[in-house]
Amino acid sequence: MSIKSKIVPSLFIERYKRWRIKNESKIKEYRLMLYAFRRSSVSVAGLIIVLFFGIVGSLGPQFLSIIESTVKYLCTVGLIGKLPKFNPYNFSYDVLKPPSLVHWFGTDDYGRDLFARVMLGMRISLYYSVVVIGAGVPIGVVLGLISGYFTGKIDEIISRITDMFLAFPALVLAMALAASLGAGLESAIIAMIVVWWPGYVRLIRGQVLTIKENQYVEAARAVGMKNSRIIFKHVLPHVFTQLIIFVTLDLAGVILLGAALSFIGLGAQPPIPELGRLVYDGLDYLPNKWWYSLIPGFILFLMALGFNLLGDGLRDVFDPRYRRRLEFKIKKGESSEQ
Amino acid sequence: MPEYKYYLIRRTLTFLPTLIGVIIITFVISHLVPALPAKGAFSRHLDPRVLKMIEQMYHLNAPWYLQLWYYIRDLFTGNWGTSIVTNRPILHELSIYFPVTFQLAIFAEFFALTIGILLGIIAAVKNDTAIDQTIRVLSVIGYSMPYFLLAIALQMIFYWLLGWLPGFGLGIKPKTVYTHMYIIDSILCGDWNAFVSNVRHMILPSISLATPAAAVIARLMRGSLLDSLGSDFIDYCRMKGIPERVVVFKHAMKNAIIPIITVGGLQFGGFLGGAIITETIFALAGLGRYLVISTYAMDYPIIMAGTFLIAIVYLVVNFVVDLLYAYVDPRVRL
Repeated sequence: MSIKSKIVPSLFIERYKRWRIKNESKIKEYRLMLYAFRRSSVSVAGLIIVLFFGIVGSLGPQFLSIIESTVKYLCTVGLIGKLPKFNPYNFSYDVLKPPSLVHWFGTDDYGRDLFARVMLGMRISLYYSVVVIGAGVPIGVVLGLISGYFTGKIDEIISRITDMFLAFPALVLAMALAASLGAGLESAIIAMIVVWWPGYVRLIRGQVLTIKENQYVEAARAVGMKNSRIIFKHVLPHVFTQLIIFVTLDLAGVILLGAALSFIGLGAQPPIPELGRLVYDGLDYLPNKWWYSLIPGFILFLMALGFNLLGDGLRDVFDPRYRRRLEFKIKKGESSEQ
Repeated sequence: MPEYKYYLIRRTLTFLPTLIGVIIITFVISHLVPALPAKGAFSRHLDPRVLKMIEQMYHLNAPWYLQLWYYIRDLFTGNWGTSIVTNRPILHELSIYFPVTFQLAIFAEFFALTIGILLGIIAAVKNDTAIDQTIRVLSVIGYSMPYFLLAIALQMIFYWLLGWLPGFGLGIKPKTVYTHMYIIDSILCGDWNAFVSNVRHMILPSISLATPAAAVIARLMRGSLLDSLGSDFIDYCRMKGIPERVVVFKHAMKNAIIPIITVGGLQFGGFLGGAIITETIFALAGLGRYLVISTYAMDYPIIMAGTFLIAIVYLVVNFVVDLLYAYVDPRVRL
């Protein structure tokens, strides 16, 4: 027993050491990526924003109750004088009150607490973006891979269909589809998926066309690999980095498009709070009751900003040329120190 | 230029299928999607006999290929139907509202290109300095901006707080209206007051619409100018002793500006779509505002006709832009 407990960890350490030696260059590259990411404070800020909104959005209503209980605790301790009221759905007589300790983001025209409504609305925005990207990207990637890899008639057909969808401005097509499906959360999501996949077909197709020219793909084909295997082993991994960047950026795009749709009145129907709809409802009360539309709008902006900053940072991180430049700089710095 | 002629033919040949595609997609959305169309809009109020009459009037009981045929025929004969809410012919309504949107989009295009290109050039020339970093962050902020937030912010600042620019509606109506683009109309009939007031009314909406696009263009411009500045012929120009200003603006710009043309064309669609929101906030009587009202009123024929019109205009604009692109850049037409 005692021998075993001594041997097993050492065995693992041994293996780990060997694994490290074997994958040294890979590890170095990953560490360089991490370094490149940490180096730009802007992308770290993006990551923090995304994480924050991700946590808040995934908790949703629970987040409100957590805050409520902590504030209650702080109140009993005596740090905060007033108890805030979170009533996302119940009407009250505090109509259109400015931001205060009781209503952190103010109240709307039915006396509902905007803070609570915004928090719940964020969840819907995130839900939009995750579902739309989650459904739209696989469709786009599969079609893009097919049309880029098997050029010819299939490519021609897929490209033409993609062109048809891209002939519409995104918001206009989404609006028409959502309106004809009947206003609601599901139809908005379907509409956005229909709008979103063609962009990915274009992106992936272009990437595959260049990757295909590489000799390793030709070699794989010469060895007699099946097409499906070549696509999955030699083409897809190279598309992946671009894909991650675009998915991150597009999460922001979907949030904005979804907000625009709900602004037009085609998102989730009231009383479900949605950020775009909140902005629209607040328009009537501008400029004196500014908090009603500006705060939800600003939250939307922050969400989009977070994803865009993160995507931007990832673009640098995944760019091999940028990494080489960084490596060069680090080495230069080391040599000058010596 | 014989190769330009071939390019023209080739581009036209890809234009036509896309046009047909647009017709098919709008047809599918308006006729085949279940929750629809005139049937859905009318059925609440009517007894079955009248419903049947309406069905026959709009050929809703015909098989889909016949419906498609009627749809295409009506599109090309100008019989676009009537609005459910206002009960006026749609084509007439669109001819009043669309020019306003078009004018707004052109203004936005102008601002997007000037602001974007200018910032892009500055960022490229001051590469890897604090100015470059600032422009980069500004551009991320710019394209993370929801259309409505910027519009509301501009309206609050320049209209409510400072009172410098008008924040609502269109300007004075010119004496005679030809195209419903008030700025052009006022030039045509020589109405100076109307011209100034209309231009002033266009500034805030078009800037708020143009900012996200300007941010994208600035980034692209920076990248493409940097690429261009890194090439050999620029080294040669510098070696000859040409002043840096001339090198950047005359020699490098000529190559760097080419990709901007395409993106500028693609952005135009974004403006036509974004106008839906901008016009709502600035209360402009354009197609976008009209579409929003129609959506809240469930006026499907208007939504479909508006969508179709915007798609067609967007297609034509991109067609023209592509031709222009091929004219400027000989590599494309080969």
